[in-house]
Amino acid sequence: MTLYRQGKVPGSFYDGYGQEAVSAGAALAMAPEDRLCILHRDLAAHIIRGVTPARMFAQYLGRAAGVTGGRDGNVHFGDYRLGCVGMVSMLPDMMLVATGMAMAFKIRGERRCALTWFGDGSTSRGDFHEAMNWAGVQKLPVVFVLENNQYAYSTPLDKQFAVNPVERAAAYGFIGVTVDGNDAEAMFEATRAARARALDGEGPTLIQAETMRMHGHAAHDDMKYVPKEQVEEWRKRDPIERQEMRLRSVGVDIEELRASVRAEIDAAAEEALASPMPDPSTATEGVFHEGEAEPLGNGLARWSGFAAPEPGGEAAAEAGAVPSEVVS
Amino acid sequence: MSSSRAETSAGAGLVDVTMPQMGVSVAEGTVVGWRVEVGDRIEVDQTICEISTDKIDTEVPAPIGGVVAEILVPLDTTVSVGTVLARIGSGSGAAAGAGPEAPRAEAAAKNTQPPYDDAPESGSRRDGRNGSAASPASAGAGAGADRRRYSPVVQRIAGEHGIDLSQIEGTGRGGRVRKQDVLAYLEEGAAEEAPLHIESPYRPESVAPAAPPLPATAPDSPTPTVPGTPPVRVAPPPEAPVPAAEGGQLSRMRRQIGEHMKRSLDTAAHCTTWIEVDMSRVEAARTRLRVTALAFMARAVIDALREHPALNAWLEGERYTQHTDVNLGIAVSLGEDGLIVPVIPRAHELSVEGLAARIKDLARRARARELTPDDVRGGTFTITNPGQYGSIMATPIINLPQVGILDFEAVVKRAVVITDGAGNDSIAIRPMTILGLSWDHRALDGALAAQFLATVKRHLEGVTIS
Amino acid sequence: MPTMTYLQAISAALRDELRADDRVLVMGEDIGVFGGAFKVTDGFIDEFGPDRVMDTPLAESGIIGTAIGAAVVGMRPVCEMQFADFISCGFDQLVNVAAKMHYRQGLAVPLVVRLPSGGGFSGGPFHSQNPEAWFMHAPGIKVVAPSTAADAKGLLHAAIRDPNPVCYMEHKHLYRRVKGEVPEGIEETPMTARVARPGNDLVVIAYGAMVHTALEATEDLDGASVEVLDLRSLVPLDTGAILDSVARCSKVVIVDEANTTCAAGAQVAAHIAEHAFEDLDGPVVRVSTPDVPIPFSPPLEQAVLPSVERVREACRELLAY
Repeated sequence: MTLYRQGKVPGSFYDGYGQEAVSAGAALAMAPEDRLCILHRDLAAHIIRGVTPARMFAQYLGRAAGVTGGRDGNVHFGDYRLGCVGMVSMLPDMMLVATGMAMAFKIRGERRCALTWFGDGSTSRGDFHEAMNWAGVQKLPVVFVLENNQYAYSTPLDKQFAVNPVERAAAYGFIGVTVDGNDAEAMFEATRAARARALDGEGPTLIQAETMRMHGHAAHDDMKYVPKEQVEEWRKRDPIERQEMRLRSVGVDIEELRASVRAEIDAAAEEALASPMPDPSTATEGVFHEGEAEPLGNGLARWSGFAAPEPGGEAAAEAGAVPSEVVS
Repeated sequence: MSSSRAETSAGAGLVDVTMPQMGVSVAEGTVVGWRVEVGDRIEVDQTICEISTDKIDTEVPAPIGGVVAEILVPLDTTVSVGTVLARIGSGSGAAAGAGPEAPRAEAAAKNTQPPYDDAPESGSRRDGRNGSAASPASAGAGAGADRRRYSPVVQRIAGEHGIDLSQIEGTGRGGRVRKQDVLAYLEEGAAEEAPLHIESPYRPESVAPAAPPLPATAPDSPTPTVPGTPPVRVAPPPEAPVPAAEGGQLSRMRRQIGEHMKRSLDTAAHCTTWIEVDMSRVEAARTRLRVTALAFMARAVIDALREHPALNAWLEGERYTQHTDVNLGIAVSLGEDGLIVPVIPRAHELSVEGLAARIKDLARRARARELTPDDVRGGTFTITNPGQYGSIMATPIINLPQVGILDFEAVVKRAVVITDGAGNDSIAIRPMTILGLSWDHRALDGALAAQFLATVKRHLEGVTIS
Repeated sequence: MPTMTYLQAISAALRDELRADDRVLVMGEDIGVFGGAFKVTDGFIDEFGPDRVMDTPLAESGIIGTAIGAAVVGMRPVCEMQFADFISCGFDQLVNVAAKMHYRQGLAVPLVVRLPSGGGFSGGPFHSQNPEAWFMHAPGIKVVAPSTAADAKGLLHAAIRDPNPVCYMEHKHLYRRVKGEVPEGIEETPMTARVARPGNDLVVIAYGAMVHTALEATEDLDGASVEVLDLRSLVPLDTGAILDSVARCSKVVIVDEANTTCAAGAQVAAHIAEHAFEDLDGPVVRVSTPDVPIPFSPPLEQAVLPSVERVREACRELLAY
């Protein structure tokens, strides 16, 4: 945000301030061979899969070293070698892509799943219905994470749907659960369970993660339409603070942790700021692929002990690592 | 462009048409033909009359458009330069023009421009033509009733080969020149050209088939009011009667040519020497370059003249001057009206293709009476090339004050004896020609003449093919 | 070499690919049990099973979107839109997700969308369209349009083996009306143009069904030598072949079955005007369907689709120009 305000970030700037647990908790439950369609407020998912902060900063700054090399804007990225598909602006198009990935897994008999995040607003579009329906009809191993952060830009929930969206899962033939989106461990558990169901052939799950968007829709939005009381109430439930409390209770030095993270972030920002802009002469390259198509690769899954291959390495990894038991 | 000279000088009264000075030394001229009558409506630049001078025959264009008010000099009258020949009244304003009415709005604008001007028009015509996904029919209908447009590919091909597009008859819509027409013209190549001819007993049947009808000629030329003299037409038709056969005088030009020839025979010590040349390499090269054999001949002669400058000289009485520059005269037949020898100045600086283009241009302008006095001056050597009719040798008359003239007649396939490296003889079929050099024995000897011819032969038989 | 119909050639290509490559998956509405609205996949489900010959829900966006997902995890999906017209329901997925993915993310999407297009049989406005121009206009999508049985097979092989999203325009009206010799085995047709008939005086540029219209219209045209160039591939467009033909013939008629404005032929015409100006001996003429929805009743439909007569007349006029 600071960089954006300094004018170093081209275009618009979206963040997921206050929603961090929705992506962190869910992504941590994924295995290396699982596939993710990540949305614009889910940066944690990218980090968990193995995208370095420096590359992410470079991406926002439109640098050549960014994940898309400057080809797409700040949030629209996904490192395919780590199993992440970059989103498009039309929402929730990626629900269908995740559904399709799950479809392929099922056809090939593989024990893995696909996961996608999408917002409350996007459930009003046709692709939500087509994806939910398709996944339900074919009983696909896909996890749909609905990030209900109370507002779609300025549109509140009561203008978006007439029913609680979690109830819709039943209409498509599968389970819907509501989870406290600001509780990282709850998110993790819900996702782990959904994944297990998927791998056992029980079909999709809709996880409604309730959270609150603490900044505007984008940096250019001052959120005037949100009642202050609502903001205050959700501030008390800040996900990072809650997790920090938990960690402190088991003896983790939070200040040290914060300092080291801060240092890492600062170093990453500096590295990104020093990196060059893309070469204009390459602007028309890369529209088509030549040669063999390379599918998505495996990402980091620390919880299962899997270290992702070096960037640029082979995707491979058919046999997925079984996620270890959750330590609660 | 020249639209500033258009008909807008309303109410300016009468404008004089005077006898022009065609060359510094010219003092007078003769009106040999009137193209208009009193009362005729004419356009600017339209030909009023034809004149003949010591140097050149040419036409007098109207300085403005308007109505012919007076004709002051009768036919065949010689007057001094500057004499008023006719007067034109401009009072009536816009000339409807002699050309047919074109249906488009640009027709009026078109008429005020000189007819030979191919300057591009405004884009409105183009819009009308290419309007919808419809046929190109609308394009041809009114497109250039008296002015031709050429498509990009036609212009490109013409440019690549130095073709004068006005020479080509179009078979497309509305007489449009199509790509096929240009390609067909190229195929025929040199054969299309009118023969270059000098005096000989042989009279050509059809003269100057490629000479176009001159622009803005009204189809019905009025007969001059002066009785007793037949009208002299500019582009003589094939069946034109020979003036001498009908009785009366030879034309002025004919008389002048005759005097020049007589003087030459009386002055120079004429001898003629011949040599045979194998033209097979020239034939191969000229097909590839798409030029006439005459162009190759010109280049070979130029090279020989540089090696033997005694042939590239002037002998005027006592005064003898050898030249290093070659200003090459090429005799051009004007059919009934005789011949003229336009000159390519500094011809030694031109390549074969360059010479070909110049020769073509000079011949065209000669027949169209567009030569200027400077075009016929300063020649140091002359080539005459009447070979299209099959004649093989002639005794050309030297073009004073030059000391040599080369006659290039037909190229004919003959059986010739070829000796190979081992000394074995065999018969081969080769295109052969006989070159005849008339030369002035006052200025040089037979040995030199023969050497010159041998040099020309050597150059022609050594032409690069690939 | 076996002779087969255009439709049989498409079937044969799909069958060959399903047999040769496990990753290939055919998906669409009514293509499995029913064998497809036009019977292209008749009998496939028995040989390959319901997983690989998939009857999908009625959801064009879903078909394309899930196909994208399958493609990026290593499958080779061949989607069918029951009629090309319905691609508009899946437009967003095709143009925004599939087409742009590689440019943005470096992630290839090896996907084929089969589009039964074209009119001429009273299909009406929603079953007769030729939507290829919409996709020529979206960078990142290849578009091919065979006119012969051999090319129908060869281009489908090429499309399936291409690592990019490919729109395969199969012309419904040619399904059973066009027959030809088709090489056995898997042979890819290159995405280039083909001279259907060589000539010198004029070239007719066309693709799909209009190639046959062009050939018929110019077979015996007052002795003129008329070339017919079958584009076969719209993206990539074989500009080399186009300019060669124009240089040789200097007169061009472009035939589009699609609506005139911004049809594929308009792009060809623009390219010729810019790059072959000095080779032209006449205006670049287009014969195309006027900008109207394709009507249902036969006299109306025949009045708008480019007929043999209309093409012949246009050629005749231009030849005489």
